[in-house]
Amino acid sequence: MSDSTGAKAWGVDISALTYSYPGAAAPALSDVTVSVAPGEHVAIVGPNGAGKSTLLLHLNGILEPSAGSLRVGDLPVTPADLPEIRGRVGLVFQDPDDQLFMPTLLEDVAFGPLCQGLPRQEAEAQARRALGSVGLGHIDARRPAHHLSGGEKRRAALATVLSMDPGILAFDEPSAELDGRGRRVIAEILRARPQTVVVVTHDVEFAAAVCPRIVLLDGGRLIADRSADAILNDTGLLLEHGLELARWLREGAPRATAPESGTSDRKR
Amino acid sequence: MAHIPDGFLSAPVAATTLVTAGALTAYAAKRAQTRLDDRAAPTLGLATAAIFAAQAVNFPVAAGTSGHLLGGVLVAVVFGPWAGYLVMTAVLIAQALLFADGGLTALGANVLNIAAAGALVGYGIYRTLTALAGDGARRRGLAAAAAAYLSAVLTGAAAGLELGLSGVAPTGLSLGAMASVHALIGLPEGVITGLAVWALARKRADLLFQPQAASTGGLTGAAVLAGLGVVAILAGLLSILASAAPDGLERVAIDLGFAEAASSWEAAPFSDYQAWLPGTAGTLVAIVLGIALLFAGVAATARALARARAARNG
Amino acid sequence: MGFAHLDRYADRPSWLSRRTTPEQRLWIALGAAFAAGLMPPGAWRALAALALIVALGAWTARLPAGALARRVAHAIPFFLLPALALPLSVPGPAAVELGPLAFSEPGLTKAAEIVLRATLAVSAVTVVISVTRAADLLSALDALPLPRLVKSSLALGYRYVYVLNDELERTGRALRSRLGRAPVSRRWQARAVTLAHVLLRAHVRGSRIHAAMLSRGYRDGFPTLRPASTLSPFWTVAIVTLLAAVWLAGLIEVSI
Repeated sequence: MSDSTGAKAWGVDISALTYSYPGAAAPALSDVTVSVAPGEHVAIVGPNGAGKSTLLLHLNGILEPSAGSLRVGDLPVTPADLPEIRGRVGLVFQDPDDQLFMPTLLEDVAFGPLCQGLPRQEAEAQARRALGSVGLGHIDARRPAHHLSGGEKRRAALATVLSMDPGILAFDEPSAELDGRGRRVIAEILRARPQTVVVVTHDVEFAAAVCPRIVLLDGGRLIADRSADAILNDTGLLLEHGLELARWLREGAPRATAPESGTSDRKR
Repeated sequence: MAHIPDGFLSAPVAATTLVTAGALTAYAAKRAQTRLDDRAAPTLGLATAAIFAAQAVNFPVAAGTSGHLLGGVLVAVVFGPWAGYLVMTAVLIAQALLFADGGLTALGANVLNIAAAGALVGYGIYRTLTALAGDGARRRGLAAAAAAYLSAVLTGAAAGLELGLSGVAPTGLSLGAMASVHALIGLPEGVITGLAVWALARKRADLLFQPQAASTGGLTGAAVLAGLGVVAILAGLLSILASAAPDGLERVAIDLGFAEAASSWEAAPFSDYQAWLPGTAGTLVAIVLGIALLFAGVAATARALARARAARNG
Repeated sequence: MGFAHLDRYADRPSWLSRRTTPEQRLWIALGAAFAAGLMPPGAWRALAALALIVALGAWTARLPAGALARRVAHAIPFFLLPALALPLSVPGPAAVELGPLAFSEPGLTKAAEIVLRATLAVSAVTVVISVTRAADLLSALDALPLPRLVKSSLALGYRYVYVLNDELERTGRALRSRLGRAPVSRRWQARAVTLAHVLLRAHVRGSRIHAAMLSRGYRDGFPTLRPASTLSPFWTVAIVTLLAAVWLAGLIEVSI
């Protein structure tokens, strides 16, 4: 499943990002600073309500920061530059049904390119290439999306952003509601992407399988930013932030050994 | 028969209703677009899907038959009157094309009867009642139930009027028959709508449509719409009385061999009834005037209430 | 309202589906519905001619007769019941008397006419729509002078009714298993709560879809891929002209 389009990749710089939902008492994100290099694969993990998805929605300007700023490559994320930013950052949402909103699969995958102003024939070619690159080239793309299986829908959702040829791919819980095999297939697809990849998940093992670097978020704050192995082995840190590993199901959760947990890079 | 099929309406009635509904739809699209901006398409689309899905839920009516929700008031309470009107219009188009439920020539009439009477007039009644009685969850539920019931009766009365004007049956008769059938159909519609709005208002009142702050114009408009709707309903119900008697008289005329005279309804549907029943006609006029006065009062009260609220907030 | 019947015969090759595009078929359906639905009273010969055309159309569409009959039959109660009331309510000399019931002659004629017109219109629309995929029909609606919001509502409504139906079924099943032998009032409440739930889900999903649309560059309007058709409109024009001619013939038949 090689990438058909030229492998461009943009970096992301998030600096001192703070965001409060209208009417909410506590901010969903406070003072988050993260940099991702072009082509790097980074996972953002954290328990439910940590602010992971909120962070993701800032990447292509769906939400506007209450304070702080973002840059995608050489462009600051501002309302004026949104069309360009949205072409650079492809957002893959958690529920593929939210992303496949057109009457047919082909129209769904061509939606982005058409919105970017591509002529019909080029948009369709682009869409067919994207479907092929996620292994859906054989499917009758003129049928509605409700004919697809769960795993196919997820790959189709990925195709809808690949067709826009983005330099950054951002995924919200890409492994949710998939069976073991579906999870492995998605992990392989993600690993092979030449683009910059940001994966938001509460599944630490999946994160470690796809990304060499993991950022831990909790309560809207950045807790840790380390290598996947370091996070995976820091039992105390995982326990403290309500993150579980699958093998604990059988072994039972280890007892917290508090002092060992990584306080070194924690920002308070 | 909430949905008029092809073949019932005459060409002039079909054309008039199509043009009227078309103009109203264009205006509604403008209003919904202004209010919802780029959220309009996904919001209305999902509301349409919700009404499709809701109409698949059958509930028992009398004698082993079952019916489904029309949903005009429900969708208007959640998404707003103009959005609700457009959603019901989209649903009617799909029903006519894909389900042979309601005719394509009757589409204009069905849009006016179901989308306009349900979502617009129904919402007007709901808004007026909640402005008068308050907007707690239970009161919202009761207001929605009353609005759904009355708008269903209005749907029937409007369909009866269109069928009468098309020459299918004497206007008074078809109006009365359709209104009374819908006075029954409206019962489950009212109960379900009321309970659903009550549940919604308890759980997520924040998701219900909020009229723009201090829009006294909107409230007056709602009250006027509601008033017109109720007057029309009462006129429809009274026509049952008006039609019951002449029907009996016509039977007598037929039996006595005056059949030729009796079929003169085609020339003047109402006049002979009134000639037969001067007393009823007088009562009808008095009641319509009374209702109009009552609603002028309601509108004035609603406006005063809104002004008082605006003064409190400002 | 079930959606299972959609698209069942849409992919069968037929003369009609080869010679016309979905958009052109939409115009044919409208033409047929208008010619049949608005045929003036008393134009029996024109109505018979129209029936012949519709039968011919059904034959060119290669639909199984049983399937077509079932679909048309499904719509018949909608107009048969109100039409049956006419012989009893339209005044005129009685043609048949059954005890206290007198079926008037003008009422019977009127009812027969209405049932014929309605059956013809429903059959014609069913034939034309059956050979068209629902998704194609939705994009063909672009040809009609409808506000954009109505078209997008239809497209999204068609896409998401399946998703919401699944959610509705899950909620309904959970409620049923909990209700058991609950009294009638609780059952009604349960139905209402289920509906409220679907509306809530629709509301929430609508805002998520909005975000998904924005993130792919949506500003306003849904772009379509549908290329301009290269198919000649000859047959469509011919069919619609024929339908219009029959309707005019009906008008003339009544006025002379």
